[in-house]
Amino acid sequence: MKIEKMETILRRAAPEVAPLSAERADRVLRNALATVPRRDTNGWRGLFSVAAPGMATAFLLLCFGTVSHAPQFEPKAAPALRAVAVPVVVERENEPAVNRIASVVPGRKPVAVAVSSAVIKGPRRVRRRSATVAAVTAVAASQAFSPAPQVTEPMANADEPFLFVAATGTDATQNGDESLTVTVRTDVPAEVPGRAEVATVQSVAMSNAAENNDTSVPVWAHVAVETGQEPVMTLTALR
Amino acid sequence: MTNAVSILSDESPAVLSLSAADWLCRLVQKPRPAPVQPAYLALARTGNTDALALLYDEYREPVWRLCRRLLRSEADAQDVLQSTFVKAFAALPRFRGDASLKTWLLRIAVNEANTVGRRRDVITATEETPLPDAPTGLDDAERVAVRSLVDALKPEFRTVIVLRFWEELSYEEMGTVLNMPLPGVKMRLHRAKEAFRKMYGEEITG
Repeated sequence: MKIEKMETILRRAAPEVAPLSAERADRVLRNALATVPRRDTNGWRGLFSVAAPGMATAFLLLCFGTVSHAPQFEPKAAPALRAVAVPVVVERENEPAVNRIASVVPGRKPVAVAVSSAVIKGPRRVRRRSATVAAVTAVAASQAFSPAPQVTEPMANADEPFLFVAATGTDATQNGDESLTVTVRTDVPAEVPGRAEVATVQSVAMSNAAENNDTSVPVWAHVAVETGQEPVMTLTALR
Repeated sequence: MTNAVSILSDESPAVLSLSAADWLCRLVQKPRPAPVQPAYLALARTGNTDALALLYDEYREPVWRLCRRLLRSEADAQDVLQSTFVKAFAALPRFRGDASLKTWLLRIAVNEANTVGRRRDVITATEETPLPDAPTGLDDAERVAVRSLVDALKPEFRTVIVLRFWEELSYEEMGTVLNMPLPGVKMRLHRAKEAFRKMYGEEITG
């Protein structure tokens, strides 16, 4: 194949790229400007800050009469971007830290649980985060709801941060074969590119906790979150 | 002319392979004129947000187009666009003005895209976001095939193909973007075209 023909084929195969949406473009600009050191460069002060380096250089040139050794204005380097390696769990306001929820299923003893509805804020360039969470709420299957959140203990692991919430309760169910199904609902805001999906959902037999006289019942749900921004995970447990 | 050769004879033997006339031409070669920079550049260097916004509005689309054509994922392209302008705003006070702002920004974007591309080899790739087809003289199948072949090239080959044939940059601009001398750019482009031609021929012949 001749070079000219190949180059023509390559040029004609150029993909068309849609312009960036206005909202996305504004967001990129806001984020970029947020990293710029704040300097008052408006009005006369701004003009002076622009002219001052040149005036100072001209003065020094006049004094020393050399061109090659004139001092250069070296603006202070911009600060490094804040590296956020560990996701930060944001606790919602006006909600209790621990939610003791009575079981709505008659005949069941209440199981006090702590659940989490958290916003993960990670590095802007998060590709994939595996969040292992535990949330338990004893409710009837017909009444799934978003329980109150609790600040959990994010593990200090920059590569695989996760949330852990322990379900605490002094009264585990005494009935055998009773399991708790955890459903993890992942809500990614519409303007956030990417997706979040539940990899595994686990159920746990509550009776095990009673047998072991445990006061907490961990339930694990492995959630893969894959966005470039801030995902929101809502955890709901169904029985 | 003899004096010029004797002065330069202390250099490496490879230097002496050039004729004295060539060396004289190099000595009197006029420096390339600095590109014209936008009027708001001085203010932008000081961190003036309005000037930075002007700079962003003017060069956002070329940078976005390059990011999108270099990376298969739209999410990655948006991240690279973001990091490009973050780094550009931070490095703007140090921008010497010996290249155009556009090629300087594209250079940052290419470096950021390469970083993402290397990381993508380690982490499982996200779902690709295919680009729509522009009306061209190629049929759909051939266009898809060509793009697939370009995507399958080595990253350095794919970059020069995109810069030359999709972004329509000149060799000089490519040299600035890639931080390479002109002969290096041409050599890499030649190798990229050879690699593409070989893959294309195999694709056709099956």
